Amino acid sequence: MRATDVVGLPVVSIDGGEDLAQVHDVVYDPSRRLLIGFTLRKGGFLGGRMSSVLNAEDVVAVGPDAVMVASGEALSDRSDASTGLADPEGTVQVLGTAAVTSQGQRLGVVSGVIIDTRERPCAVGYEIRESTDGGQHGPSRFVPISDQMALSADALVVPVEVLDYAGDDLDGFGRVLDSYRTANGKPQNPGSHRVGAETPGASGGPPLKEQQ
Amino acid sequence: MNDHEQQAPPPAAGSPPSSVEPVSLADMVGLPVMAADSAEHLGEVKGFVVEPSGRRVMKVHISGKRRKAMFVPWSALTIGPDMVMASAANAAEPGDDDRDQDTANGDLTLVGARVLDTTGNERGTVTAGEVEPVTGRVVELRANGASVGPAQIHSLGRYALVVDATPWL
Repeated sequence: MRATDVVGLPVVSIDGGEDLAQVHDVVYDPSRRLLIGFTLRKGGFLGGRMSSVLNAEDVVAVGPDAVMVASGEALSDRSDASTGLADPEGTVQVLGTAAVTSQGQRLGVVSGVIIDTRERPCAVGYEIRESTDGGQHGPSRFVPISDQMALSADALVVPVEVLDYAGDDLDGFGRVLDSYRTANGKPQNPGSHRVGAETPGASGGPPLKEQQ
Repeated sequence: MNDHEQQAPPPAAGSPPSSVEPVSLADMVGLPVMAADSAEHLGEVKGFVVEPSGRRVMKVHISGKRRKAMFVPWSALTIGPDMVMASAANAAEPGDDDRDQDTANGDLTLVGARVLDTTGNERGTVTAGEVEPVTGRVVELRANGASVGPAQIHSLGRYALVVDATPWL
């Protein structure tokens, strides 16, 4: 699913059945390609920003309808959280960044971060939307995140080899990832124990899904 | 050989030790509650206070005469086909904690609760619940066309009943 689809979801405790908060924003560290966690707001109509945050490692599951945590203790105080969550503005803003190929061709802008939510949520791809001359949104391409990508505040450089694996819809992106990883023979996220192609296929459904 | 002896059917696997049929919570709603000691009509069954684990009914919420929410512990009740008998009139008491109040206010309910599985997928609402008449333990819930057993229930809170995803896989 897109990281932005998580915004607004309730955070629900498995041991209590209570909604503890709503996801306010998704904090992503592009340099380490890690989803660090979520900033939170109170639920409801006039829900204000909360001082509590949720580290990605304290998340049990991210589904289309809720972010599940074991208990209320999963929420931590902003000041105790890892640096990215304590100061979300400090991370590079990736959405809206221009995407270009390593051979100098303009691709469009990064319009989404695709996250894998099967276990500990992590970023696995970028959605790149072609910008047309009229300023309207063109078609989207979904590219796997690769070690060879370079990202700064100015641009995301996509290696042309990675572009060969780009898919044009989110539903098929799980297969895109699998074929990319099989061809490259190594895990995408060295810091993560979860890799699509090597995950036992017990779960059945596709790893990435669009919100209904 | 011994083909005469082994013919008695074995007891069905997983059947409860008692022969008492589980009771449907939906069928209990609206039944009169009568005090066995005073023959006093205490009110009607309105709802159920369920423990946070979501696996056991602790009290029955009844609508008292002066529209005041009253609660009778499950252990003080005998569930009959036509009414529910309370062991004594003084078994009905006002609520004494947040869970009682949330139930009386309609913020906490088992039948009708939103169902959320541990993978973050909503699974409709609880459409039916069956409990053991003596202990109040939940035997089976129905939600989104599936049967949910007590071992698959994690909690019941104001937001949702949280259950394993396995009934829908």
